[in-house]
Amino acid sequence: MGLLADTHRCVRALRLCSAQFARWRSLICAIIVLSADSYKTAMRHNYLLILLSILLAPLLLAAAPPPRSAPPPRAATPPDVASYTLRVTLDPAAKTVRGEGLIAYRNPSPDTLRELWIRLYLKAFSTPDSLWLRESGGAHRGFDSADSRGDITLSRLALRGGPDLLASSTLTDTLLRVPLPTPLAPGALVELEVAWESLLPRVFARTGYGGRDDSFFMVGQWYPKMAVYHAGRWDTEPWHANSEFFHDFGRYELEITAPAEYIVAGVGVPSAGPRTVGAARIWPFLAEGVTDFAFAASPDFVTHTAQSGPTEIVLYDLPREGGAAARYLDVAVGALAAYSAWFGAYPHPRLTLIDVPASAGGAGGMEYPTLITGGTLGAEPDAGFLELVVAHEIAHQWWPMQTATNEGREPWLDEGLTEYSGIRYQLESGRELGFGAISAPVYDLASYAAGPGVRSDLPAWEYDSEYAIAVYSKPAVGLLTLERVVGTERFRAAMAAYLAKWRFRHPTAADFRAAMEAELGELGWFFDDYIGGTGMIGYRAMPIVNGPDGSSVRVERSGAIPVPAEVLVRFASGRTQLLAHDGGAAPLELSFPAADPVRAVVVDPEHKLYAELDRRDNGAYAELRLLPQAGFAARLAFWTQLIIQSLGLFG
Amino acid sequence: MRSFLQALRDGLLRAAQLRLALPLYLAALLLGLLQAWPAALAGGTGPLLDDLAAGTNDALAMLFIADAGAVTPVALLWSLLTLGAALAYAAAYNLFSGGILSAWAGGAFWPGCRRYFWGFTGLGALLLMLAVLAISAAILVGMVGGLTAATLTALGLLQLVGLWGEYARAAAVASGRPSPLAALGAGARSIMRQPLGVLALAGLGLLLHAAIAAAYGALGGRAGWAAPILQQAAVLGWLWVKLLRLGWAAAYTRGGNL
Repeated sequence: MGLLADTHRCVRALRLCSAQFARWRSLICAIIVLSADSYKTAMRHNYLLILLSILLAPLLLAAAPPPRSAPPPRAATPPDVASYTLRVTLDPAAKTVRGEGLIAYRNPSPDTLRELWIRLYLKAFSTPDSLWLRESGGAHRGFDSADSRGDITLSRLALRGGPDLLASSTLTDTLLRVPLPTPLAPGALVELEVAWESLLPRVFARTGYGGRDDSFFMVGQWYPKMAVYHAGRWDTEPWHANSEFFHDFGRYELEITAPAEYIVAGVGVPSAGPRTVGAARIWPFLAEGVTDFAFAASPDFVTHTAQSGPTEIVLYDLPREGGAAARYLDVAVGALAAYSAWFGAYPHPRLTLIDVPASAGGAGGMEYPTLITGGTLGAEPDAGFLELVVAHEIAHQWWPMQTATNEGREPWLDEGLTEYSGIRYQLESGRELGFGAISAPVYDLASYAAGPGVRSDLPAWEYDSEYAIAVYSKPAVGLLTLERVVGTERFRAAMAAYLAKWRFRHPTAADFRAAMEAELGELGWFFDDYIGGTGMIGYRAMPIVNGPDGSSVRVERSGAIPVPAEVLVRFASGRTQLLAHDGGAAPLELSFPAADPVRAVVVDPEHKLYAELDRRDNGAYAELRLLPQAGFAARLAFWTQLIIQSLGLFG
Repeated sequence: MRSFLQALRDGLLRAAQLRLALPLYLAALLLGLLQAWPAALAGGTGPLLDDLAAGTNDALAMLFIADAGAVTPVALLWSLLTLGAALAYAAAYNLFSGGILSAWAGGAFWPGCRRYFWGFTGLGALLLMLAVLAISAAILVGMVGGLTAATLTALGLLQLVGLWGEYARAAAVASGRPSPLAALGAGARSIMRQPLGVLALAGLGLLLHAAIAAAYGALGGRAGWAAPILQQAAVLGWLWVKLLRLGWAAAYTRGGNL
């Protein structure tokens, strides 16, 4: 009996340890546990027990659930400023979400606060007179509102166990001002009891319903959200059509009740499995160190999982002919690993991907902490754009989900960095886009070329149709240029240093600049002239002058941006020399002896200045370029032969 | 099965007479070289010219980005002239396919070209009309089944129309009747006599075309200075498979044995 009991202790110790550690570490753990146990209880069969553990370990480790890997180390712990404990019920028939619970807000500032501000985003869809609908014209990213109405109505807002706050609150558009009966001291916590009902619109702008029989729900910006108090003031900028979001970090603990046939996917991780209550199921979620909570629900979801390092990736797919599950997971695994290596580890144990039906496309291409929405045309050939969207949305898990920048006031700081990250990943993984097989950055270059004179550093609400160029394409192309100019390794180290310093802290563009310049040196050409200016990058190589006294070469900066450029000079002997233009206004003028005349001058021979739109004048040649011209001619002839054989051989 | 294997063998033997494909290849090469005229304008593209010679689509895109106003008219003109070149090549095919089939049937090449040219030109016009009908049907399918269904339908139907054209030409030469309508009818009858074998050989031809495309796709980007050689090898290979399909059609058509 004694041996049986001791064997049971071995098994228990091994199970305990295998849940915490991998493989051989769990065996050592078990030995330590048993040794400590035997010391305390003076078991008679100590050494026999250890031997038994070693013999049993392979069997138990094979049968044990996969050990949960330790989350990656974080440079900083996210502060719990605005935390939410909510119980909500989705009513698919009524298209509503009713919720109640607790908001815990801790004053993160050195100031005493006499009021709180709460954002009620769905109010934007409650009346055509809302700022958002007036500015958007009732459409968002090409999706029409089609008179789709949404709303959020608070029925209770009170101090926990204390007085009502709703009666004294004032609503302006989507912002609720809540005077506090007692000022909130720095670092102090206030808890608010809240109850509300959200009416979801037919989705056209991120949140709402659609899909088969209107049974697909993507629920975002749907609950009363604390605004941000930062740098001595509340962020009370109204919600504009071009704006996204700005929120504090916190802990979200939610229970979502939905009809039993629905599958619910949410931010964070399921804190337990769903439990059935009558005709409904309750889905509990826990998310820590995040700035938002969104969830999706559909009776048609089919889940697929993959692993990227320590992170579990779960795709909630809507199967259709030629579905894209493998594509989603392939790019998600790769992108997550790439960004973690370049910038810093993804700080959560799980990433959720939501497939979006074509009829609810307005919900697609969106990011939430630990959750992204994709969207595919299903079996339609989409020429690789699904991968581009998914890689982009996953990059948002760094910018701004870890930096929590003000997406409305400085939109390029998250969209520009994210767009750069996405196209950089596409380039690194050799993916091309379009049926013409063009690399991803070229699309942003083409977009930038449509409006190169826009500044990128303006608030979202000061842009009109040029928003995408200014906030996505121009910064992305600029960051690619910066990376090539300073070198990939240095650039990534600088980005990683920025993230390490400002993770979970609301950095501004000035903070980003300071972090980058601390690593890379002065970058006025990038921040002042490129991002904050309207000029372009341009260089011009003037015709070579070869004479009895020698060769003269002149390179001018034709663009307004003073970025340095490399200049390659090739001589008749075949020798080359790599020089530099310092980016200043003065031209680079050089002379070389007559013994070895100059044959060619090429500015930026390695195409580091990716943002230079017109490179045709970057070269000057004192020779006929027959070989490349013949090569191009041969290629044109080949394309012609292919086309005429495809059409002409038909008869 | 026996006649299928016989046709397979006979077609391969016919297609082995590669010299018969030479006029068609030279016609395509001449038209291709004529259409290389934009290269003469490309001297002023600086370092972009090296990228254009290397053949990356990025380089083409960057040319448009640099100056869409100047590049677009050139591109449009080139596209229009290429369509014209396709018509000229179709005429060449109508001319030389008559000679090729006549030579396989034991006759002379150039008299065969002359004898069947107008008949095959009329046949080409009929096939074009059938192709338009096929594309229209694909569009209708697409309205119900989506873009992929439409694309697959179009490709499938166009392949069938092309196959019909091959058998119509072979039947015209086998019967000595160059009339387009008679050729279409005779071609259809040839196909219906051995439908499975015909489709199997057509499928094999498609696979060979796909293999050539895949091989070029895999090697083309890495060919460097040898790129023009690889390109012409791909063109010749493509043409040879077309010849092979015509050879199978000739073999299956009654009276078309070697």
